[in-house]
Amino acid sequence: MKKIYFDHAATSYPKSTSVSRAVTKSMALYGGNPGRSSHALALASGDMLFDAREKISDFLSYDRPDHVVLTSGATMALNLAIHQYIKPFGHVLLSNLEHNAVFRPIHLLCEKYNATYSTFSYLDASLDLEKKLQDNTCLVVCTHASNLSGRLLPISTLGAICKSRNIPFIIDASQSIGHLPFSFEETHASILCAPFHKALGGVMGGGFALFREDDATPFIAGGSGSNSLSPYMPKELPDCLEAGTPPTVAIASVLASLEELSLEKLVRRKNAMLLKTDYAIQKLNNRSDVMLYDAHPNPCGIIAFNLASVPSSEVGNKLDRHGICVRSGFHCTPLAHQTLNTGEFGAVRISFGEENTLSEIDYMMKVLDKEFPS
Amino acid sequence: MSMLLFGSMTASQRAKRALARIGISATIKKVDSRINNGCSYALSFEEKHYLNAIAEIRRMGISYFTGA
Repeated sequence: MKKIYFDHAATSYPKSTSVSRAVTKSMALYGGNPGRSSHALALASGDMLFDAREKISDFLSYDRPDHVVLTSGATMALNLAIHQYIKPFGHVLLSNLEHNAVFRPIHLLCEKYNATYSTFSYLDASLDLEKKLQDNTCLVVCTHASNLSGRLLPISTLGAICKSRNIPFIIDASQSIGHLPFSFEETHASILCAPFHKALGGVMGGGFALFREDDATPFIAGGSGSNSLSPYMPKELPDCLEAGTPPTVAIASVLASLEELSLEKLVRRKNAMLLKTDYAIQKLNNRSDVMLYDAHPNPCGIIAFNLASVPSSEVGNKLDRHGICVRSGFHCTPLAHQTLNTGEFGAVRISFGEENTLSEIDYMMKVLDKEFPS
Repeated sequence: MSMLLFGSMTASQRAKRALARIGISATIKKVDSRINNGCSYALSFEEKHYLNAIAEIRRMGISYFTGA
């Protein structure tokens, strides 16, 4: 049975031929542990890592490759980023659409440091943010795009507000990066975090945090390949935040993917996603029993819906029997589900990629009509 | 050969690429941090490029130590 993959917000699939090739080649070319030795294989791995840092910083138009901290994924990047700024008795503001990769570390660290947190609404986000800032607000964290609805938040405006008040601002760009062009500068972010394996097209197991400032506090400690006799982590970025062996295969994969991701391609991708989401929303709206959640044409290719009285898991399972891959449930974002009032069964999320076609959307609608006559 | 010392691999790589952009070829090696001001990476290049190399690395704002 042919698979129709509508779960790109979880991870993009299939990966491009050049990414698959880069992963295979990396086993031979980058077998040495970067930064650990002086032999040719270790130096080649180290060079590849630096190429990736350069590509990522170029992609975000920020000329500081040494400020790109390579991590095991967006979750690790967000954890180490949030860790930089939460202070005892401080206050953290986050949007009401955040993923658990933001919400849980904030909850954990606020408990640890006797700090508090509250949310601002994605509707009128800048006004609500300003209203909810407190004297002790030490951090604002915001997703660029909701992983449930694809809603883009006005990060540049929010960043400007934070900058004017000297409050650190962290962006979770997991669902937006690779879907639309933007620069790090225009976001005014202190740190921007993202994974490799979603729209950037790399494989799972890697991500990054891009830092604006030179200074950072170690999050985990361990081998860094430098000054080994010291009991302390190095002081400089990125080494101070990169304890342990880096995920070279994932890094090689994103490097290959970024090499073919031009601005023109990003713009084409963005327009295609707007078209696909618009088409799918129209089709879903033709059914009388469909409930859509903040559905709108969006460049991230995401739509959340339910069929009245049918648990989302049942819809997901039935679609899977017809070879259609979607995600159901709560998508690691209880805040967004609460905000969009999806109810006790979560929601079905369809999320498109570059290769999905309108006829695949038609097929999904046929399956829904067959399995769940409205 | 001239040698500059760096605390991190990334700093030495930034310096190497900065020098490459102005036509100076350089090589990175790991060195013993105990006898090199706590630096673990050395960048070597031809001595005749020393002043230009230093100027470029300073212009880039990359911290370094001079080799022994």
